[in-house]
Amino acid sequence: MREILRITNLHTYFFTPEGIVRANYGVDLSVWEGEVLGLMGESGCGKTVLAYSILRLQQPGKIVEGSIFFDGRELTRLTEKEMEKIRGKEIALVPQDPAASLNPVFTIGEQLREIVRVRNNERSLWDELKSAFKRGSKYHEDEIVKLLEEVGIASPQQRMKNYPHELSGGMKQRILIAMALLARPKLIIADEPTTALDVTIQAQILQLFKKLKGKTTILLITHDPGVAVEICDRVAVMYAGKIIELADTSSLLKNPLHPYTQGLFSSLSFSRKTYLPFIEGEVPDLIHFPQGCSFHPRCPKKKPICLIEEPPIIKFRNRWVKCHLY
Amino acid sequence: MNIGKITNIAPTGRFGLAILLIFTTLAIFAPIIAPHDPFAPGRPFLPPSPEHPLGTNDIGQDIFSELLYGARISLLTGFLAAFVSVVIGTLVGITAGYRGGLIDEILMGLTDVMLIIPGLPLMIILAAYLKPSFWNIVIIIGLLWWPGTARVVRSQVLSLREAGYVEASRIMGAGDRWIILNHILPNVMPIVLAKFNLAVAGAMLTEASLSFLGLGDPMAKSWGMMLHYAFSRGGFINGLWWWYLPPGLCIALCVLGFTLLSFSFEEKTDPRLKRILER
Repeated sequence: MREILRITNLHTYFFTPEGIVRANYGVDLSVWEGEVLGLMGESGCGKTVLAYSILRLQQPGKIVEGSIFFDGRELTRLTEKEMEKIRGKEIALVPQDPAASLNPVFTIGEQLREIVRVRNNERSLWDELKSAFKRGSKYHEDEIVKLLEEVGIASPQQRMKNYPHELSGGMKQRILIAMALLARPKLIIADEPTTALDVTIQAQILQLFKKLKGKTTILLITHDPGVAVEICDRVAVMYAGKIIELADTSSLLKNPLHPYTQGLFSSLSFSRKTYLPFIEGEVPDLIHFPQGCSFHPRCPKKKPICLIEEPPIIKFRNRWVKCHLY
Repeated sequence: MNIGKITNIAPTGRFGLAILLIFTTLAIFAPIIAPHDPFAPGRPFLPPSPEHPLGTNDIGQDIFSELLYGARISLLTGFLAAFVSVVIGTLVGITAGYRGGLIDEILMGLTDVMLIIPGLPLMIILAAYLKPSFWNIVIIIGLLWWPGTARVVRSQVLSLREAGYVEASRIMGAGDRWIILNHILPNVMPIVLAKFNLAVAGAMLTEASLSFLGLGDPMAKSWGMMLHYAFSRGGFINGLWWWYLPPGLCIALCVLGFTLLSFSFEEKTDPRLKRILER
């Protein structure tokens, strides 16, 4: 298997009047071609910033250090124009909020055609004017219809004439997934694709992702351990801007190593007779990190060294963990 | 986007549209409808008669024919000047709102300066220095009417810039120009249209004021020029109402038409306005 994306020591900071927010504080991550990699973590741990950093859309944040190696290119060194050709075409992102991500004044069909035009690199002023004024006319219609059927939209021709407000949340999410697929990207980043949906629709969308598995590489961002376990080949756990554990799904589920991961999964598989276990405390504020391991204030197994020294990331039987316990 | 659907706009807007359609038709078919050549002299100071429905002026030109031909100049000046101002305003507004930062500061500073300068005196000075001609009037009005549009467009673009679908299309690899043409512009169009209507009304009024003050093109027959001659050549003093009343009424009606139409457009773009107006 080929490594399609390698992130090494990525630091993305936000410089605010209150201080420097270290949203990504030395992230190391590899994505293999064809796999579904889960990126799991609490809200505010830097998952979305990581996704946007990969696309170089982390503004107003800055990539201070580190490299993003994608398919033979170093993304942090590319110009904005070169990045525009990578976004969507090679790395597509399914955004978090399907309702906000569709333009309310255009029909679904018009917006899908727009993606085809971007994909086909029709970027001269003339092409862009054509797209702006001829969005109603048919363009690569068969391909779009086929794709919509693939993502489970019934009567696609009809739906393409609808405006976003005429569709349900689940349908909008399917449309966005179709948009991401339309450009046939090498990597799809799905940023919490099920968060804005209710549970039954979530299950349907997860089924859809399962169907996509193997056809394309997916980086699935989620805060839900259940979702991660359901569809991912490997799962990376993120905490306070760092990857703290990375393993294949089954071994992570059977035997989580990091106390944080243990906490996450214990809240997933609790028995009904007891209280829901949870991890005490809060995610550290990303401006003032605790010294040593950033998890130590909440860690039930902390040792004296955890307070002073940051643990290195160590390989432990084909998996990685960042903890002094091992 | 079907803001143009006549059935969709409020009754007041339809009334405004009707007024404008009538005047536009009259202007377009002026040579056919007009009973006389508006420039041909004849017997002066005739009262209304079947031969001259609105009498004649001081050099015996038929006032009704003048009125019809005046509609052409007045409406055309209004449209062209409004077009110039709305194009400038939209460009400035989108650039300032989308780019932000220093460019925004500079452009909005300029807009504020333009807003602060009293418009009419400046226009009078400009009109007096430049040769009074049709195109100069258009350009002067156009150059002074854009700040309002620029401000409104900018504030709209500020919120559009952060919209989820703008981000989504950037994620899909769209560049700035693409986003402006495909997402920002279509979303500010309704506002620009409403502003355009108001600008036409304003431009027509300004043209009439300048012409009335004698700063219009003396060779062109506009309603403002008619008022100017009616005033300076004894129409008002002698109470020749058929000379000064019709052009005044025409200006008022056209401005009313554009204003009503503009209100109904604004109402469509912002439904909250409707409730405020009904209250």
